[in-house]
Order: sequence, then C-alpha cells, then structure tokens
Amino acid sequence: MVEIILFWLFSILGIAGAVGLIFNRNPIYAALSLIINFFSIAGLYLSLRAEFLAVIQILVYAGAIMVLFLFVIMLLNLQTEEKAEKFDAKRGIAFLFGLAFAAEMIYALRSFASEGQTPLAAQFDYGQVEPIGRSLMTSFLFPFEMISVVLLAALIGAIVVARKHTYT
Amino acid sequence: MNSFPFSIAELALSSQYVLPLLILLGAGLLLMLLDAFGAAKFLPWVAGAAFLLSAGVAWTQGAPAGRLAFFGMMETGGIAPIVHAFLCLSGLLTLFFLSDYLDRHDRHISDVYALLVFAVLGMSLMANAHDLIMTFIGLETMSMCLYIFAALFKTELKSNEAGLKYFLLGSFASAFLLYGIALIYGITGTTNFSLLASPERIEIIQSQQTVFYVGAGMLLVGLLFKVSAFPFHFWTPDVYEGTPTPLAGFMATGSKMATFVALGTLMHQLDMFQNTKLLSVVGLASLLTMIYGNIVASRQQNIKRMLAYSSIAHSGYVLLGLCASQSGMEAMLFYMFIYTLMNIGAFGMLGMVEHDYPDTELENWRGMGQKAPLFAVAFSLFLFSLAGIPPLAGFMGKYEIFIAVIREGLLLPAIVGILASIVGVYYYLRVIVVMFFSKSGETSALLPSASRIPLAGAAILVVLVLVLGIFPSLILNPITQALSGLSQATAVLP
Repeated sequence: MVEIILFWLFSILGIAGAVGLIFNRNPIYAALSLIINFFSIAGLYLSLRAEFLAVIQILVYAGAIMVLFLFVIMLLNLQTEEKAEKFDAKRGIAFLFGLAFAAEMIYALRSFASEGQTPLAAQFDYGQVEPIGRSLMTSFLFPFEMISVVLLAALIGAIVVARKHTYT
Repeated sequence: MNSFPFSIAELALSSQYVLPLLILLGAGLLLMLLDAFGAAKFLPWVAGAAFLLSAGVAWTQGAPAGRLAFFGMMETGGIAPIVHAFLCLSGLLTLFFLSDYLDRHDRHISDVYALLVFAVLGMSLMANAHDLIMTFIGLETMSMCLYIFAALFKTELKSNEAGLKYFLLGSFASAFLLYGIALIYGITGTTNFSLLASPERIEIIQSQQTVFYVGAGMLLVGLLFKVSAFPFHFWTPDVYEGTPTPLAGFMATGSKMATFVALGTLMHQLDMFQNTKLLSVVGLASLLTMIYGNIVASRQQNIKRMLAYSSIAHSGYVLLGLCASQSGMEAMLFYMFIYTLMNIGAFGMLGMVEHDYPDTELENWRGMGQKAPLFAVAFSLFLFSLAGIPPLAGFMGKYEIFIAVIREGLLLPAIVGILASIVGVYYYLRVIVVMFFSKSGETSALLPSASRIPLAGAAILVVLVLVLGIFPSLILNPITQALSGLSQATAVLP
C-alpha cells in the first residue's frame, strides 16, 4: 500500500516537474523544476529497489549537473522571455504529434502491464553496488571501457569549440 | 553472465579479437600526445598509418561469423573484419583531402586527426556490435566526433548553425534509440543479439507485440536519422554545408555505412525480414527517401547542397537494398564501398577548389572545363559514377542493389528506384554541362593549385572507380565470402 502511494506521489511530482520545465518562462524556475523531476525519479528508482541508481541520480544529476546548469544560466544572465510565443501551425502539428506519441506510449505500456508478466529485469538483485560493479567488470567490461572514448571525444570537442583560437 | 572469476586467457583472447579496434584506440591517444608535444605536422601521417595497420590486421583476421569477444559484446567474425577495413578506408581517404583543406583555410586544428580516428573507432563499434548497448555506445562515439566536425570552423556562422543543429537533433534521435532499446530490454530482459534471437525470447516478443513494435520503431527512428532517410533528413543539407567539405564527405560515407550495417544486423537478429510490418516501414521510408532526395537535389544551385541531397537519395537506394534480406546485405555493403570512393572523391575535389571558387555555387564553376580541364574531367567522372552511368563503379553498385531487390520479388519498388535515379542523372549532368559548355574566358591551368597529396588522393580514387566498374568482383567476392559465413551462422538460429 505504501509503495503504491509513493509510486503515485513520485510519478505525479516527476511529471509536474517535467511540465514545469517546459512551460516556465524563467530559466531559473525551469531548472529548479527539473530538480524536482530528478528527485522524484530517484524516488521511483528507490521503490524499484535500485538503491545505487537512486543515489547516483541525486549525486550526479540533481547535484553536479544542476549546479552546472544554474551557473551557466546565471553567468549568461538570461532574461525571462517576455512575449508568449505564438501558437502557429508548426507548433500545432508538433503538439499533435506529441499527443499522438504519448497516446501510443500509454497504449503500448498498458498492454504490457495487462498481460501480467514479471519483467525479466526484476528477477535479479540489480540495485546494489556489488552486482553492478560485478557486471561492469565482467560482462559489460568492454562497453564500460569504450564509454571513456565518448567522454574523451566530448572533452576534446568542448576544448576545440570553446578555446580562444589563434589557429597556429 | 555473471560468472565472476573469468580467466585472464579469455580476456587476452577477446583483446586479440578486437585488436583492430585497440589499434585505433591507441592511435587516437598517441595522436593527442604527439599534438601536445608539438609534432602537429606528422599527425596526418600517423593517423593514416594507423588506419592502414588497423585495416590490414582486420583484413587478415577473417573468421567465420559468431566469433564473439568480451562476453558476446562484439562480433569479430563474418563481415565484421571487412566492414572494419572499409570504415578505416573511408577515414584514410578523407585524410588525403583534409590537411590541405585546413591549410588553405588557415585553420590548423590538429585535434581533428584524433577525432577522425575515434570516429572510425565508434563506427566500427556500432557496425560490429553484438549487443544493443554496444550499438548505442558506438553510435554515440561516432556522433560525438561528427558533431565536432560540423562545428569545427567556429568563427563561421554556417558552421555554428551546422554544429548546433546536428547536435540537438542528433541527441534527440539518440534518445529515441535509447528508449527503443529500453523497451526491448523491458520485455525480453536482454540486449544481446544472440539471446534476442533465442526461441524463448522470440516467444516473449510475440506475446508482447505492441511494446515490441514501439521499441523496434524507436530503434528505427534513431538509426534512420543517422542515415538521413526521408522523414528524418531535414538536418542533412544544412549540416553538410557548414561542415568542412572533406569531413562532410566522411560524414556521408563512413557514418552511413556503419549505420546501415548496424541496421542490417539488427534486422537480421530481430527477425525483421520475416516481419512484414517493420519491413514495409523500411521499404516505404526508402522509396520516399529516393524520390524526395532526387527531386530536391535537382533544384539546387549550390554544388555542396546538391551533393548533400544526393546523399539522401543514395541512402534511399541502400535502404531499398536492405529490404532484400541476404543478397541485399551483400549489395548494400558493395554499394556503400563504391559510394565511399566516389563520394569522398567528389567532396574532396570540391574542397580542393572551394578556396578559389568560393561558396561552391554552381554559377562560379562556369567554364571550369576550360580553366582546369583535368580537374573538371576527374570531377565529372565522380559525378558520372554517382549518377550510375555504365562503365563506372557507381553503375555496378546500383545494378547489384536493383538486381537483389528484383530477385526478392519487389518489382514495383525497384522500378520506382530506377525512375528516381534517372531524375538523378539530370542534376549530375547539369554540373558537367555548366563546367564544359558555358563560356568563361581564359585558360589558367590544367589543375587548380592544390598540393600533391589531395591530387594523389583524387587520382587513386579515379583509378579505383574505373577499375571497380570493370572488375567489381575484386570487392564483391570477399564480401560474398564473408556473408556466406554469416548465413551459416544464422541458419543455426530459428
């Protein structure tokens, strides 16, 4: 019972945070509603017994990344968008597509739930640090190492794009 | 899966299987180090040597399909070595044109070589992945490098636009891909290709069709974006226009080849060839891509944009080939190899004169046939090949694709494809007509003032395009051989 109440609480908070992110005109408020979203997703992870993921979610996303976001927003000194944007045909189509996509997802995931199978992912204790460390160092060793190449490339990219360049 | 004390020998064997990838990884790191120690002028050579070495090791490493490395993460047999060699080749050919282009535009950005090596590494990871996680990581490695290429000339507005557009839309497409992977993992509990094709997983997939279709559809969206297929093509012309020209050629060839191979493997493993619904989605996308790409390309006044739209059209042909199952895979690989040669050639030569004939506007190329006859002839050769005019390699590529499609009984799509490629002939010929049949003025030189390396690269490509048009079996036979191993391995699976 408590689990179900918590699930609804976190889901509604999470969705509210995401909606707030999109509809807030003030970038700081938008970023803060993103934090609400991050925290409630961490709550959902906890209720799925993925403790490690929940902690990392809060540490990395709600902590480090959000601080970075806020710094950037404050340094750029963004103003609140004054005019509400017009609702033209392009936006209308995008809105319709978004609605259709949401409906599709709800339909598909409901069909998943109604057939009442336990997802295979829930059958082993994936939430603790030990099984995660174990699989990162065994079956997922290669992808784990290769992610460092993505990060390295991103790092180089940030430097290439951001540094003052004299093209020597 | 979680057998913990695994043997060191097993790891060593796996590392040996992925040696070509490790060579690229090491070379990328070495390039960064050399750059830091001020050896910038050797970088293209080191990168080239790494590509050659890696391709050579892969080519000699051939093995039957199903030789997996690192707990089933990577496929290292079957077509994997050939695909890896092709991808290295696309990187190598780009190098011929790249440093001269950067020199001419006074942008000595030496980080680009390490990124090029990492991009090829990512492509190979994606194309030869045997696990959806690996596909995603490969795609991200590749895309990250391509985003940077698009934004490389950061003081130019077009480049900024290209970089931002590609980055935002690309991240969006990656998110779709990842969501699709998550849904498929959600119903099957695995991301491994062999496990996904096992009978019990297939049963699960059949009982959870709705979620599976949504997941597979999202996977398709993510991958079709990368090959700029019809509804997801909008970024292509703007991004290619803002990207340094030789790197745009690399984007249009290597990344597409890798994505097509990944797509083909996925379609094999998820049994999409038996699944008419998903197959018809791919087929429809391919038809629309061909028609749209060719028609819009014929209205371009800018050669670079024209080539960008033509690369959309070419994606359409290859996607059509993919619908034709096994023989389609073969035709697809062959076509992408040929396309790599001629497209890197066309973009590379465009880059050679971009400084002297600015903006790549067709108007500025008036009378190129008199000003630089040899150059114009070589460029026309690539255009003829792209159009698919007989004795050239491009014709053989198109022939293989359409024959494979017709053999599969898809007559109507093949006819649409052939009609679309006839429209394509018009805009390639238009460039040639402007170069040769409109008066300009004085003769200046046989060749534009380019250094020897890009000229050598263009010469090699011209020879290859001519030779492969007459002896396609030089490349076709190894591909067929590698693929016949694949069909044996997949025949074991239900």
